[in-house]
Amino acid sequence: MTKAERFRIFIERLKSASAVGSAQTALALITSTLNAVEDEFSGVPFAPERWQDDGRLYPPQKDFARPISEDLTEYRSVAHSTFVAANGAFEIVRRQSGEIEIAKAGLDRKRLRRHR
Amino acid sequence: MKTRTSPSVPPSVAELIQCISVVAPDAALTAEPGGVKAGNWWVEIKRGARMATVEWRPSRGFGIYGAAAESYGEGPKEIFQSVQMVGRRVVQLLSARKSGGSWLKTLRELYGLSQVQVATRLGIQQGNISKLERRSRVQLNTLINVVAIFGGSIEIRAKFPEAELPLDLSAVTQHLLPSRPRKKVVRTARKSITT
Repeated sequence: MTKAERFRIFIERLKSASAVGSAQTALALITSTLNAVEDEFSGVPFAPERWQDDGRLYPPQKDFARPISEDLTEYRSVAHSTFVAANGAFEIVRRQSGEIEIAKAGLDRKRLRRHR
Repeated sequence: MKTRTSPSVPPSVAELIQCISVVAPDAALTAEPGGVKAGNWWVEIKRGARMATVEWRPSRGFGIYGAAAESYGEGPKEIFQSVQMVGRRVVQLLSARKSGGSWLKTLRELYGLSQVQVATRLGIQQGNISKLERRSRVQLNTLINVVAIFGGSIEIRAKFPEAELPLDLSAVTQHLLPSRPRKKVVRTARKSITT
């Protein structure tokens, strides 16, 4: 299965998942969902410390968090930015085009607001 | 050249920007910080229709992603420690010449060597380097020899669904000899013997 196909499965599973109520649980949801998809379909063991294109997709890591505002954090990868809000809302955005891959509301049904 | 940078750019990143700006003054560069704790930085370089992304990580070096990188959270394809080398590599990737060119030429230019210098290190004629650079296929022992003169080594790993292990190249390397010019072989016609 290609990276693009696995990414689509990841996005669909995120869309189907229940909303969460904090930034921490939102990041955990993104992490666990992607790792599950990659464990199932990529055939590549989890090894983020290698920092190499090994064929596997990796979720955002805490050390790579950049605060945008008091309640919004960005995690940047080469082609995407993942924004996570304090209320558990999050968005994954394709950087080149600005296309929003997923915009999920928090437990309070509010989506995040980005001011760039 | 347009450069938009955030404050407190690390010296290594600033040096990379300067290096690329000198070699490719028509490139547009953007640098922005990554994670606060990780201390990584992203540099995007655009030149015409081509683009490359470099991520710098403290104590890890520079990772180059290239224009084809579009997958979520994928790692870099190439990693460099030297600012000069990553600058040269970025300019190679952004150059107008066709991609997929000779790996040997790419490597030679990355190290700033001429064909004569590489030929001398390999103990062969410069013309042979020129021929090698035009070849689409290269023998494993040639690859090992060439990589070695740049101080590198080759590692080949076999990956199976249930295992992963390195291939032992000692059987190849132990028979490597310094390259010598081939002697011309003159064939003469055999005399037929009739009885």
